[in-house]
Amino acid sequence: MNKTSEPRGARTENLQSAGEVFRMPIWLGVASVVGLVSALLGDGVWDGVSWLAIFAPIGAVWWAWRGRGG
Amino acid sequence: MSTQAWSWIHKWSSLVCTVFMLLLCLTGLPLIFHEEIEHLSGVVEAPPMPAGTPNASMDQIAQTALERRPGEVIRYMFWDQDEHPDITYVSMASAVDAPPEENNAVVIDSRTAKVLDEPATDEGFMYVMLKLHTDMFAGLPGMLFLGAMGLLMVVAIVSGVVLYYPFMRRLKFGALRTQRSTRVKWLDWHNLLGIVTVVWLLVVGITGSINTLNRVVLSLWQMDQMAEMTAPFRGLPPVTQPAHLEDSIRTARAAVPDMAVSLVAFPGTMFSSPHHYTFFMKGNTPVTSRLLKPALVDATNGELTDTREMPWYVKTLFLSQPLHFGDYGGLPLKILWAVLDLFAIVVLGSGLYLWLRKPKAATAAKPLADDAAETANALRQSDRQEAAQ
Repeated sequence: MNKTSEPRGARTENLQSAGEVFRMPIWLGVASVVGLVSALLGDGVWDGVSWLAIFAPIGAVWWAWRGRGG
Repeated sequence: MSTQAWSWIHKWSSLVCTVFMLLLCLTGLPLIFHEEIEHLSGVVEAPPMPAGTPNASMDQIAQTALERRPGEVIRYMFWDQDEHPDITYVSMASAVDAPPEENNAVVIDSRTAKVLDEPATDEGFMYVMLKLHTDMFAGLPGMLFLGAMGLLMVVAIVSGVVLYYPFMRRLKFGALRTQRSTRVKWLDWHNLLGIVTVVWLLVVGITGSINTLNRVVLSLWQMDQMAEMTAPFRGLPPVTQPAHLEDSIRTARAAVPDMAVSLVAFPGTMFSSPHHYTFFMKGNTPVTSRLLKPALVDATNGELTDTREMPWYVKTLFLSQPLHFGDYGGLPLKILWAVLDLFAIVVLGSGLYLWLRKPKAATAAKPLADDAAETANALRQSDRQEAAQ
C-alpha cells in the first residue's frame, strides 16, 4: 500500500477572517448556481456546463476526503 | 445576535425538521429516477406503425375512454411528446368534482384510438414513495406541513452557515480530522458536507416548499385570471356533455402555433372553468416546456375564448418544479442530484448524532474533553470578538 498524499495539517497558522473562511464555500455556491441555472437555459452545451458546475461541490468533498487526517 | 443564539436557532430548527427531512431525502432518492424506474419496470409502449401514420380524432379517443369506463367522466388528457409520442393518457373519475386523488388511468394509442392499458395508479413502490414524499398520506394538511418543515430547514441552513464561521476560524477548508474522537470526525463531516450543499439544498428546499402550495396557487389563479377570462360565461349552466374535442384542440393549436398541447383539462375540473376545455401548451426549450400557457376553448362550440401568459405566481410554481425534481439536464444531472441528496442525508444524520453525543459539562471530563473544549473555544472566541466591536 502506498500512500499517495500526506495528510494536510487541518489547522491554520492564524485566526482566519470571514473572507478566508468563506472563500471556498462562496466559489462552490457560485458554481452550484451556475449549474442549476445553466441546464434550464438550454440543452447540449448548457447541460454540459451544468454537470461540470454542479460537480464542483462533490469534487471538493472528494478532495477533502483524500486529504483527511490530523 | 450572539453565537449562542444562533446555536439555539440551529439546534431547534434542525431538531424539529430532521426526521421529516430524512424521510424526504430517502423517499426523494428513488423519485429522482422515476422515469428510468418506470421504464425498467415495463410501462406500456405504443406498437410500432409506419412513420407518419395519422392520429385518430380526439373525439374518437375520448369516446373509447368513456366506453371503457362507463358511468365515469374524463377529467384530463395528457401527452408525453418526447417519451411516448403516440400515446394519449386519459385520467378519469367517478364525477368531475370527485376528490383530486381519484385518477383512473386509461392509456390509449393516439393513432388507432385503441386502449393499450389501464394501469393502477394507487399502488406499488413508487406510488408509496411519492405519497410519503408529498403528503405522508395526509392530504393537503400533510402537504402544507411538509412545506413548513422545508422552511424550517431553510432556517437551519442559514443558522448553520452563520455557525460555520466560529467553528472554522482555525481550520482549513475541507478539514476532516479523522484521527481524533468520533465526534470531531462527524463534526468535520457535518461542516464540510453542510457547507458544500448549502446552495443546492436551499434551492431544493425552497422550491419543494413552493410546490406544496400548488393547490393554493391554483385557486388563486382560478379567482384571478381564470375568473377574468371567463367573466362572460358567469351564470350560464355548466357544460356537462363536453363535445368538439377535436375542433377545440385544433383551435388551441392555431391560437398558440409555436407550442404543443401537453394537457387538456375538461370543463368543471380544478384546472379549467365549468364551460371550457383548458389546453396547456408547452414550448420546446427547458424553460418554455415548464412555463405552460393556457388556452381556453368553449366546450359547447370549439371556439377560442382567451389565451394568456400565466401570472407571476403560477410561473414561479412552474419553474420550481424542475429545480426541485432535477429532471431538466438528463441522466447525469439526476445522478449529481442523487449524490447531493446522499450528502444531505449524511448532514442530517451527523447533525442528529452530534446532538445526541453532545458534550455536557458533567461528561466533558474524560474522552470528550478535547472536543468540548474545541466547541467552547469557538463560541467564546467569536463572542469576545463581538463584544469588542
